[in-house]
Amino acid sequence: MAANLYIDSSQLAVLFKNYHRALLYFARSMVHEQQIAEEIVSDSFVKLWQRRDAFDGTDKIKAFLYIATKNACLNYVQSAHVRRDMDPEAIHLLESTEPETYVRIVRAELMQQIYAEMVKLPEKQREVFRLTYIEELTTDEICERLHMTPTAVFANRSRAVDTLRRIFKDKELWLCLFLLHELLRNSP
Amino acid sequence: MEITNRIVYLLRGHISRELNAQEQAELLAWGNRDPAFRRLLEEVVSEEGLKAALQAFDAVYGTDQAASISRMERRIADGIRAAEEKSLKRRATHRLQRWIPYAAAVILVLAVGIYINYRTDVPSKTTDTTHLAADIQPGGNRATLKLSGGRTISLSEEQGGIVVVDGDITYEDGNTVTALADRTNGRSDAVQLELATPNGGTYSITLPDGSRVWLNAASTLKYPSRFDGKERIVELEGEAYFDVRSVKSDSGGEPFKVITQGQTVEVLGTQFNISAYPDESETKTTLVKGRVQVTSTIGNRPPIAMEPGQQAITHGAYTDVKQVMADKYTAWKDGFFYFDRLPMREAIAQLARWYDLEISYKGKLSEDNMFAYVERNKPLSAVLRALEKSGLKFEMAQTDGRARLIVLGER
Repeated sequence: MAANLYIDSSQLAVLFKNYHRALLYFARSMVHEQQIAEEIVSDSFVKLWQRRDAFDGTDKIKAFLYIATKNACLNYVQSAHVRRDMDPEAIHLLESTEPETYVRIVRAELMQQIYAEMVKLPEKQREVFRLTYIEELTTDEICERLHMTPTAVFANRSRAVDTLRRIFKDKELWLCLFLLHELLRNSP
Repeated sequence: MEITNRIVYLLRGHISRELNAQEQAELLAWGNRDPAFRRLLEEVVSEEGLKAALQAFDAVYGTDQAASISRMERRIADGIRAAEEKSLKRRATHRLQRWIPYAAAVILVLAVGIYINYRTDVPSKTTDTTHLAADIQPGGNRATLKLSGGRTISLSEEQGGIVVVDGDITYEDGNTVTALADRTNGRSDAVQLELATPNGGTYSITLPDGSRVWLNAASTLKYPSRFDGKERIVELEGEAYFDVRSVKSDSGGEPFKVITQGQTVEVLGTQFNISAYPDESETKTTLVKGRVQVTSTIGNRPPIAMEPGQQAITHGAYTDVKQVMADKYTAWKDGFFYFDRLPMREAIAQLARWYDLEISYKGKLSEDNMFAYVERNKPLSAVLRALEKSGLKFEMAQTDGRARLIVLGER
C-alpha cells in the first residue's frame, strides 16, 4: 500500500501552480463571477491543506480539489438549502458527479492538457512566431529585433508551425489560438 | 480520477485523430452514456466548439493574470493562517505561544514558495514517490567534429548546427568553425569528416549538397567535405534524421546512401529517420516522405522499397516492413520524447542516452509498454514523473560520479 503523502508548503505551492488554472476555469463555468471563482478555488486549496495528510497520490488530490470546488460552486449558486460538505470518503466519487457538472470538469482537464502542449514551444520559436503573425514584422525586422540570422528566423518559425500543426493535426485552429495574447505573453 | 484521466486522454487523441479503432469505440461508448457527454464530444471535435473552450481557458484570469494569481495566493495564505490558529487554539492553550512562530514560518515558506515557482521554472519537487537525490539536467547542443588529420573540435553549445561548404565549415549563423584546407591550388580535395554527439548531445549538419542531418545523442556521422562522383555516401552509427535534397545529374539523379551496421538505405530526395545504435539489435529506418530502398548489410537479399509511413526493421539478415506513425520516431528531432506503446526497456535506453545515465533493473519488471510525451529539455524528474503514470517506479544513485537510474519492479 502506498503511504500517504504529507503535503508540505512547498508542495502546496507546486500543486497550486499546476492545478489552479484548470480549477479556476471550471469554477468560472459554474459561477460566472471572476472574484467568486477565485475565492472558491483558493478556499479549495485551504481545505486541501487542512486535510494534507489524507492523500496517497496526486490523482486523489486533484479529485479532492475538483470536488471541493464543485461543492462550493453549487453551494453558491443554489444558496444554502442544499449544503454540500466534504466527505473525504467521497473522493472516489468524482466520476459519479452529475453529468452536466462532470462534463465541465472533463472539459477543464482537457483544456489544461492542450494548453500545456501549446506552451511547450521554446521561447525563441514563440517569439519569432508572435513577431511574424501578430506584429507582422518582416524577416529582416525580426532578425534585427532578436539579433538572429534569417536562417535562424526561418528555422524557428517553421518549427513552431510544425509543432502546432502536430498538436491540432489538420485543423487551422492552431493559428487563431496562437494569436491569443495571454497565452503568448504570460506563459512561463 | 483515473477514469477521468482516461476520458481526457481519449478526447485529446480524438481531436487530433490519433485513436485506434478500439479507443475510438471506448470513447463513443462513453459518449453514449449521457447526452451531456455526447455534447462535449461533439463540441471538442468541432473547430468552433474547441476554439470557444480554449478562448475561455485563455481568458480565465480576466484582464490581469498576475493580479488574479496574487489575490488567490493571498487568500490561501490567510486561510491557512486562520486554520492553523483555530486548530492551535483547540489544542492546549499553553502551547500556543510555542507554536505560533512555526505556523508563521510555514506561511512564509508557502508565500515564498509560490513566488519562486512563478518567477523561475525551477524543477519542482515531485509529490509522487520519486525523490531524486539530485536532479539530472537534460542534454543539449553538444558535439565534436573530427577532422581527417585526427584533430577534434568541440562545437559551440550556443549553436545547434554546422554547415559544410566547399573548403569551410561554419555554424548556421555564418561564424567559422574551421577552414579545411588551403585553397591556393583551386578546389580543395574532399576529406573525410566525423560529426559525433556524446550522451546527452544533439547537433545538426547541412552537408555540401544542401541535405540536412539531425544527430541524436550518442551518434556519429561520417561524411566527406565534398561529394564527388555519382553517389553521395555517408555512414551512421546511432540515430539521425535525414532531409535529403535530390540532386539531378546527367544520368537522372545522384543517389544518396546511408550505411549503418544493419542496413544500407538508398534514396534520391526524401526525409527519413534511422536508428542504428550498436547496443541495440535492430536497425530501424522510418520513412517520412518520398521513397527509399533498404538493403540488409548482412546476407545477400534484394533491396526493399519503402513507402512513407513505413518502417523497415532489420535484425541480422532479415528485414521486416511495417506501417507506423512516423511522428513517434522523429519527435526527438523536434525536442520531445514520444513514447507510445514503446517497450519499457527501449524507452529507458533513450533516457540513458539523453541524460547520460547508467541503468539497472531491480525486481520483477513488467514488460508493459510506455506512454509519455515529454519535452526533452526538461530535467530528468519531469520525464520520470510522466513514466510513473505508466506504472514504473524509480530510484537514483551515484556510482563513480555517474548518475545511476534504478528501475524498480513489483515487489
